[in-house]
Amino acid sequence: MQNEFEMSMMGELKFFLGIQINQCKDGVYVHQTKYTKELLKKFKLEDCKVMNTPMHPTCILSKEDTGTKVDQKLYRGIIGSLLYLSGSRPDVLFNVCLCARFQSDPRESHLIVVKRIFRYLKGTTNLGLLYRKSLDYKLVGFCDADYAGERIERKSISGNYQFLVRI
Amino acid sequence: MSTTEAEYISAASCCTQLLWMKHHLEDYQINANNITIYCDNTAVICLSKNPILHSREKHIEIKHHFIRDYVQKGILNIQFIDTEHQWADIFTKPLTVERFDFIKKNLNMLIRMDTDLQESNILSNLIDDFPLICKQDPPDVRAHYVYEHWKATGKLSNTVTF
Repeated sequence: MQNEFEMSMMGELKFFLGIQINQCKDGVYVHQTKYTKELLKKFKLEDCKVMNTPMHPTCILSKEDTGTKVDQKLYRGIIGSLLYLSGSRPDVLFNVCLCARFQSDPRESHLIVVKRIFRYLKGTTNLGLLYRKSLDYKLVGFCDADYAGERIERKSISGNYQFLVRI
Repeated sequence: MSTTEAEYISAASCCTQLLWMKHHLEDYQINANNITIYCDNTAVICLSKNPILHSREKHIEIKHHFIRDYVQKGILNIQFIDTEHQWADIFTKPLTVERFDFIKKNLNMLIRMDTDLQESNILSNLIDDFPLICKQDPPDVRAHYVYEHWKATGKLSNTVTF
């Protein structure tokens, strides 16, 4: 392969595009601790209080909000940065996507919800995904739907994930 | 529109993803047959097994019915799972703390571990099956991990008392 392409061996993969990779005897561990910390610093939220969950269970966001407008550039920037976390943080994925729906007209109330995600992230910066090592794998899928879960247009929300699990 | 339809469509989209992964795995000589989809709606399971079009499901678009073909071929296998163990919950609604943490654990989401065992933390050796803590973290953060772990499991090895 080296004859065909220009390439060099730089050792074990540890850090790539903000994603940190640990290869240990249990398997491969993927996390974005450094990226999360940089995000908190970038949006000046390092000193915020820690939260247990990224969103309140009864949180309702609406499009017809009369609150003060928020800088759209900032809001989109936050959403974009948070979306990059989805590679190793499926726990905030839903919340980020929910907030992303209000990008066209972001208000104060939306920004508060987004900031809560950051407060949750602050408490769990070192969370990552562990891909366990095994010889036998089985493909498994989980699917779920929240009927009319979306408050604005009463659409349903579907969520599913696929697993390669050990037998 | 009904809950069944919503669940059925979500099962169909799960199916598309699984098929994509299956073809991917075939490239690596891994043959995944009899893939299981866990669903928390029994009506969906009945729908996918029954190849006859029923008058009450006419409103579901035909494109979502392709899941039936794969169930009949035996590639897919839809099984029931109770809502408590339905981990895809985390992607559909905001959850309470207990449920959120429970699902997170089952998604294999863990705190960071250290690879070099030789230099690893003493703290991690104190508690049985405690994931190793990264040595770059300041001591108070490390102590926090131990505390959290202890709170979660109520388990502390005999060698140490706090």
